[in-house]
Parts: sequence; structure tokens; C-alpha cells
Amino acid sequence: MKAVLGRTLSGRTAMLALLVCAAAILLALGVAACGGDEQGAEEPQGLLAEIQERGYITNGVNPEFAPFEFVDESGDIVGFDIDLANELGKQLGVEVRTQDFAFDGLIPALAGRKVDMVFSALTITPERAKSVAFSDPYFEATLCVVVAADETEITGPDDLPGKKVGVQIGTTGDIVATEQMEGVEVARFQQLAAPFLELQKGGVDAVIIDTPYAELYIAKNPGFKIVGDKFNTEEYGVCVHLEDEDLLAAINDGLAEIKASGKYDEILAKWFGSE
Amino acid sequence: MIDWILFWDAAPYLVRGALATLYITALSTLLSMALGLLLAVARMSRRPWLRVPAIAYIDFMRGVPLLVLLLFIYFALPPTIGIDLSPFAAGIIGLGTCGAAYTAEIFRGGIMSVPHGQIEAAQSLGMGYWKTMRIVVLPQALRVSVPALTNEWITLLKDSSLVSVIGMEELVRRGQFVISRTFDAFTPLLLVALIYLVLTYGSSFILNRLEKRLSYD
Repeated sequence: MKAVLGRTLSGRTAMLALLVCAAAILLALGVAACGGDEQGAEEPQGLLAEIQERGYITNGVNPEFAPFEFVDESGDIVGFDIDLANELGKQLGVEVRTQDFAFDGLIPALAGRKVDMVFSALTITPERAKSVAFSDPYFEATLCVVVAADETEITGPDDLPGKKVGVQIGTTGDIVATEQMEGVEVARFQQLAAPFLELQKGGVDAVIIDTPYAELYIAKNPGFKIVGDKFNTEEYGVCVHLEDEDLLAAINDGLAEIKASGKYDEILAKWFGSE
Repeated sequence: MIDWILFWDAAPYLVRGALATLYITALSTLLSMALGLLLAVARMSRRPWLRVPAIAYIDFMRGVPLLVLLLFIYFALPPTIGIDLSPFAAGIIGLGTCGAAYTAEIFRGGIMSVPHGQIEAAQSLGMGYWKTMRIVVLPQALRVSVPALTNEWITLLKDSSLVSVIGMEELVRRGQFVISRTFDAFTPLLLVALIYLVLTYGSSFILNRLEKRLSYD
């Protein structure tokens, strides 16, 4: 067997070839990186003007939260928030480009100006309002407690002290369980579906999650039930960087227009059926 | 337990995600080999200004978890140095620079395995350092390193799943999307695991054939 390396490819040629490949890769990455660097170049202009100049706005979402934002069979990101965001884009006169992030990466992405806005069913909270600017509310949601279908001890949020509760990191479920409930052991997960899986195998006693998602999940997985009243009424808002007041004003105007024109009800009916 | 309809329905979507996984792995491997070779040579240099940074780099990359490195490159670095990186770019840079540390040690082992007597013989024939490296040392060193390097490929193949955390749409991320869409975790995860098995077994098979061709027999 002829040793390929020994006869045809001397060590130096191999090294040279590898170096050329590496250089090519880094160059390509550099070009790709520079292609993305279009934000924050001229601050005095304001982000809104910049967005309108370039013709598109980037929207960060975590597409794992049906029916607000999720990936459908053909691989496109769709959902209630996506449709609303597209309407908003029409109001602003720009295209909307959606980018995927892990949920706890959304606010860092906004703060690092990787995206212009985050339109991803984020509940308006005072803590988050320290890092990002929220628009006017566009949806009212509640949290609920989900348990296994054969659970008898837990009948509502008040029975949770002393139990183990699963939540998704950084969601209002996480915040409520950690800060507002006494004596609750909180298990945090990165993925939205993970607390349910943990509940299924008995690792936690209950899950605190947004009601719309819980209802959809239970419809597909009958082994669970919602107990007690829905609580912690909260409102979702669109997030922008704290500095972008002009963009925020434009988004608020856009949202108001979408509600007034009836488009909002149309989109609501599409995703939530008849309410 | 397995939703067979979903299984066959989601399979093409996930397999295309696997193509992205292969692509990321290939580019990262190329980067880590090139960088690793340079690092290995620097690491073995007698000049401290080459050797010390190389050792520091290798220790750092082997000490920091790859996940932390990827999050850092994708989220923390851009605001600091002002370049925006896509998940793809951040992923390749993270995987490549981290892999380079391991590849460097593989190459170093390979180079050190060449009997020193050969280097002395080459020098007594009047060959300079680079000529010795090029004709005597590196061809043998690279051949010896091949099994470890194929292992590095398989490692990078699996490590590439981490770029799902920074939003790169590859096999694992697509699996997560299917879970979110269908509220079924078992079937998509099973499918993802199976596809990874096909990728790793397939890689092992091909790379073992390559090893045999390069062996001393």
C-alpha cells in the first residue's frame, strides 16, 4: 500500500495547503462578518431612520413557543407574533427579517445589537425594563399550573409550596416561582418542552407555564391537566434597545394602527380561533 | 411511543439539517487542522516568544468549556470589538479555534514519535530545519497522527451540536423546532440521535479505510 502522504504530498505542501484553506475560511468569515456589521455605525441618525434606509428590520425570536412563534413543517418561522411583526413592518415600510435565538439569548441579542427588536411574546416586567425598552402591551396572557392527569395533591398555585416546580429559564414562570412563591423548589430548563418532559417522568411535581402553550401541549399530550385558576395576568410587549426611542415610538404607533384597523383581531382569530 | 407518521414526515427536514452539521464540521476541522499544525510547530519551537503563547493558547482552549467559548464569541465579543458575527461564523470560529488546541497536541505527539536519530541523520546530511521537517519528519508524523485526527473529526461532529445554542440551524436545532411544533419530544429526538449515529458510523467507516491506505503495510 502506497502511503499517500509519504510519496505524493510532502509535509510542507500539506501545510501550505492547509494554511491556504484556513486563510480562505477566515477571509470568507471576515466577509460574512462585515456583511452583518450594518448597525450602530452612525448613532446620531437614530435606528429608525437607519432601518428605513436599509429597508429591513431584524426581529429576534425564540421560535419554540406555539402559537406565538414556531417553525412549521416547511421550516418557516410562523405564528401570531410573526404575523403581527410583518404588519408592523408594513406600517414602517420595511421588510421584516426574523432571526432565531434561544429564549435566554433574546435580551442579550438586543443589548448587543444583533437584532433591532425582539417581538417574541416577552412579558413586560420591571426587571426586564431595566435592560430593554418595552412597547405598549399587545397581548394579555396568564400563567397556569400543569400537573400530571392523576395528580390529586396539587389543586392550584397555592398548593405549590413544598413541591418541586419545573419552569423555563428566564420566563415569568421562573420569576414567579423563584421570587413570589415561598418554599418552592425550582427546576429550570433551557427548552420550553423540557419542564413537561420532567413532569412526565416524575422529576418535578408541577410546571408553571404560559396558558396558551399549556393548552396546546395538553391537547397533544393528554397525560396532563391544568389545575387551579390561571394567575399572574401579564402583558406581552415588543422590545427594543433602551436607546432607540424613535423606533419605540414608531412601533407603538404601528401597533395602535394595527389594532384600530381590525388587523389585530383578524390575526388573533387566525391563531386562537374564536375567542 | 414513536409517532411513525411524524418520524417519516420530519426525516427529510432533519436530514437536511444534518447536511448543515456536516458542513460546519468540515470547515471547523479544516480550520483546526491548519491552526493546530501551526500551534504544534510553535509549541515545539526553541524560541520562547513562539512557545509560550502557543502553550497558553492550548491550555486556555482546553480549559474553557466549548459552550462557554461559543456563547462568548457570539454574544460577548461583538459589542466589544464591533464586528457582528453570524451564528455560522461564530460557530466555525469557536469550534475551529478550540479544536486547534487538541489537534496541536495530536500533531505534537506525531512529530515527537519520529525517532530523533532520523533528524540527526538528516542534519548530518546537511539538511536545514525546514527541509528536515518537510521531507523526513512531517510525512511520518502526519501518518502516525491519522487515527487521532479521525477521532478529532468525530468529536467535532458531535460538538457541532453546541452551535444550536447560538441559534445555528443544524440538526439539533431543527430537532428542537420539530418538538416545539408537535409537542412530541420522543420521536424527533430519536430521529436526531439516529441521524447522528449514521453520521458517526459512516465517518468511522470511511476514515478507517483511509487509515488502512496510509498504514505501513
